[in-house]
Amino acid sequence: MSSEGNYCALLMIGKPSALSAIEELLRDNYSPISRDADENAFSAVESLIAYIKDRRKPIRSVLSETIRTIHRSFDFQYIAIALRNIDGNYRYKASSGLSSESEKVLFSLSYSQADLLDESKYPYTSISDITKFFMSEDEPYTLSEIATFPRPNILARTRESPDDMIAKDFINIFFKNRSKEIIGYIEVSDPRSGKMPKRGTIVWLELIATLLGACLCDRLEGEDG
Amino acid sequence: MAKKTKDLSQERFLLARFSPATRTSREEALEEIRKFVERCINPQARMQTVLDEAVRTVLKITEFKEIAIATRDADGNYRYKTMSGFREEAEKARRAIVYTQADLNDNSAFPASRVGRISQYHISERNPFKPGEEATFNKPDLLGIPRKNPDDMIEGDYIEMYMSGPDNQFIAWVDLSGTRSKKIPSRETIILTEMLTSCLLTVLLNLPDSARA
Repeated sequence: MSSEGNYCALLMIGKPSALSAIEELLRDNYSPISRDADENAFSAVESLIAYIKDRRKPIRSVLSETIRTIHRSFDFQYIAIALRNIDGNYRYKASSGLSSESEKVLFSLSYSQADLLDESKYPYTSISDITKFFMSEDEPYTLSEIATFPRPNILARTRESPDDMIAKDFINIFFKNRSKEIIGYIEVSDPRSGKMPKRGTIVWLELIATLLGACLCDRLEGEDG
Repeated sequence: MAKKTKDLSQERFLLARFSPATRTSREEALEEIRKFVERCINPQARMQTVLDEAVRTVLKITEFKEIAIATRDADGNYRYKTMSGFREEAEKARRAIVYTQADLNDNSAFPASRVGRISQYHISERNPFKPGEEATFNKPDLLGIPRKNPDDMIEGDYIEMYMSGPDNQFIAWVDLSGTRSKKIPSRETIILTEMLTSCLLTVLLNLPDSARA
């Protein structure tokens, strides 16, 4: 008898081993152990969601947890999150990967909505609807902002290969409220590998940013992030 | 201040590197999930529209043909709110069912195998339904017919993905069955659907009170 026939015969007579075969298959197929690096990203983002979904969590904790998740799961060493304040301007509220002096300068900066989209002042390349890549060659910064770049000792380094991500390159991923106004952005740079992120990493960061928008869109007016 | 100019050759490189045209199927699915969340961040969003959008997204990114979502009502009981892929009588039968919290905790009535972080696979041979609930299936006459291979997904098999709130109280669940291939879903399908379910939960928990009715 074929193995399929054996299996059917077991089922017909209600042998527990037939059910065991199904259960074993399910266990093997859906084992919780990650099978590739991207499955680790799924786990990390699921854990982040489990944390940020709770509206009782203070906004600062939500931002810190988001930064921790990005730092652990992706290549970036510098991560910062800016939020729109009640005055309509955007200020950095949390960061990692900066010296305390640089962070102090970063937190003192304030941007209007016009600044965020001012291509003459901060030239960028839109790589999606919500993600902008700021390239070092285009000098997307003012003199006062140079102090906010991580690793000042390599700021003068130039790009040797197009896929290098160098010191003054950075990426902003925007998130919006219900009226489709930008209420904040995640900023990343300084990858450990020195290389530009993969497209898949950008897809993950965009999902995280959009989820932050979902969690924060009704909270920013009433709370000081 | 002099106008800054772009390095066009580097810009071309960036646009090619991050072009959506060459996304993998996983990246496409994650982008669909993101767009689902984005569509729900909307002043017109209501619980029903969010659930309907979630069903449409599951249909788009997975191989499931039958999807139903139940949520917790103000009386503490759970009812199906949206469905796709069911014949009219099965849908009507599902809409009539009311589950209590005790039902959800009753592993003897609904025996299942855990297949993910929040997913349980109900095997048809274990009769994972209460007497009278046969009508909730699309082809009740096929219930009880044994599968030919362990990896077949047959009538009576279904997967549930549970959503719990901050206090670990069940908020809702998604029922999935009937794959197009008639085989158990791929691991990728479960992982992606769990991600969508988590995003759905985030959206539901962050809906304004006025949108919950």
